[in-house]
Amino acid sequence: MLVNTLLIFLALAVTVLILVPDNWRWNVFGLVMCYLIGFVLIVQIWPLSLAAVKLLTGFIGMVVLSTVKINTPELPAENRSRSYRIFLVLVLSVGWIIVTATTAKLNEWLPIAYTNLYIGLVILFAGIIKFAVSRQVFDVVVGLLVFLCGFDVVYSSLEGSALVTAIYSLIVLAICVIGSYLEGFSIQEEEA
Amino acid sequence: MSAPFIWIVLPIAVSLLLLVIRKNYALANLIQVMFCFLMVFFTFITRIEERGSAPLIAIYLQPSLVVLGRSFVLIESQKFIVGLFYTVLGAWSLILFLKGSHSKIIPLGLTLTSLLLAAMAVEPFQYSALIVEVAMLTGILIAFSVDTGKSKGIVRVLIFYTMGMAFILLAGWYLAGGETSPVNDQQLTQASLLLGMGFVFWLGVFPFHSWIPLIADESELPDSTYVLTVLPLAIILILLKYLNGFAWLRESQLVYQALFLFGAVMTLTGSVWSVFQNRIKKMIGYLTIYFNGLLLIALGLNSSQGYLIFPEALLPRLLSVFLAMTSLLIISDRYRLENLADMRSLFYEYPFSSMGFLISLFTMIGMPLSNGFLPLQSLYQATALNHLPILVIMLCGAGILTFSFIRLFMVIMHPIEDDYEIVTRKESRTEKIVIALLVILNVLSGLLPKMIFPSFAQIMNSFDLLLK
Repeated sequence: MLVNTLLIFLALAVTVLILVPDNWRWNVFGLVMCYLIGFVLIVQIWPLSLAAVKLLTGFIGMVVLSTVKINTPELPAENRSRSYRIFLVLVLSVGWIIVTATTAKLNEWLPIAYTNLYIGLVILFAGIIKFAVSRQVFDVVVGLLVFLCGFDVVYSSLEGSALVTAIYSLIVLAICVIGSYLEGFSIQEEEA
Repeated sequence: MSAPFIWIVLPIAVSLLLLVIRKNYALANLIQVMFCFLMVFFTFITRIEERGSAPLIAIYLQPSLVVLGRSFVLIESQKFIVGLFYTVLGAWSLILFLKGSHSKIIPLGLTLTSLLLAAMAVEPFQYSALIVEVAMLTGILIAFSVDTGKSKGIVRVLIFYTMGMAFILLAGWYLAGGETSPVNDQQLTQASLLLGMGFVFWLGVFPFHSWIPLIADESELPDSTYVLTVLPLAIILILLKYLNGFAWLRESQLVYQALFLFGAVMTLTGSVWSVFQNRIKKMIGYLTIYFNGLLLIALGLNSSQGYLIFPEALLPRLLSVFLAMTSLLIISDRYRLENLADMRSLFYEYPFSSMGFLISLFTMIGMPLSNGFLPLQSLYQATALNHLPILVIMLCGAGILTFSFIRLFMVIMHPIEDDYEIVTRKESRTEKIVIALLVILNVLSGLLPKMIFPSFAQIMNSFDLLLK
């Protein structure tokens, strides 16, 4: 019970880390934390090996995605104003309120553990906000991966099979590879 | 040997092999063309059943292939769909070969086709959403143009398809629950809503349609037209599989009303936006939205006539896009073609290609003598019986498109300013023959509808429960 409560608060903190800082390293760190939280939740339902596949896939994906950022010269950050950061936190807070208000109702027709549903939805919402407010390919891909991570926490609690895990891992890796490929082109364009 | 192995696994293996030899592009292209038509040939000489008494030449194939505890199943009635997908890929690859144009369709088209067929074949078919997502990622690789480096449409399709996948997976889980236990009206509405949201994202229904014109505009013409042809086609067939597979879904009137609504919205938005477009590629993108809307309206009829019109409408949908692509590819080879204004007086230099392009456009709105006439007229008649507002929307869409195409016709046929200017015909003999053959096929299938249309009706054999 205590662990689950801690996980919920950790998830809320991680969503702030994903959305608010404009340094990509914090965003990636937030995403890695999402994968870790997801792993802790999924390993309670699934065998360790299957849960570990998702965690490792996420980590490998992050490495692939980060490689393109590390290997390119650091461009000046967007320099987000304080009011914009406050706006993002407010939007995120609205997301938390919506999730808190609807989870109990949703739990009636999605028969999974409350913690899994709540954390999954919080992460999923953060992902939607992330790719909705971002223009850079890298940020959109991070948002998409956060969305997928949140959805995976919910869906894995409903359904688990080796084929789904395999295809899901393939999707995450492919998005990371395509994301780094597209990001490479957008960086070239910006430099030009 | 199993059918999924031949039509799903083998093409992926060949695609990987072609990736290795892609340095010799012409050879890879030729192999892909031959392989595609070999796949089509296999649909004629094989029978998918455990055992039977078919003619001696027939090769018997197992219908299923088990992978990681789940199976991929292709049955005898799905062979036409398999053949159709490989014919489309073969046709696109053949044009690329004849034109010597470089495209990532060689060899990724094989992977995309295999994945789309896998999405239709996977059992339990709730997992098709995951495979469609992988197929979309392959489609992105095909559509992304290294020359322009633009990725706005690519990023949007990535977002919309991923969100669509989430909705469809949840709907699939919900529907699978409905198979074992009875469901009430509220649950049915919730499942339909989830499924509807998923398909809205996947098919590009307004307001989630922006990726279609963007992809059309940012990508090379053969790549965008191919991806925008096969992806929606596969998704509509997956939608039919859902309807066919779940009794409580296919018996729900809400689903068919939603199909009507989505179809009408797509028809209207596609036609209106298309009219106001100056960029040729974007216009083709909007026209694909328009025609996909018509296909959804045909399905929304939920009658034997509607299920007959749907496969018939696929022929003009495929042939017109292919003809438009081929014509524009020939013209843009030697002439910079971006806006509609660039087509001014084009008829005098490219008579065959410009006429081919115009015929493809008029086919989409069901011009008499074209193969679009029969299915669209039937659709208008069927809709007029009980759904007059939908008919009005369709006619408005077709009407404004007709005016727009007549305007384009006048631009293309505009006399050359300088009477003494020497006009050189710039099309090669092969190009003229290809366009002429496509136009003849278009007109012939329109004049003699019993020649080709009945074979398209076989598509519905895979969805027998819907026809009852």
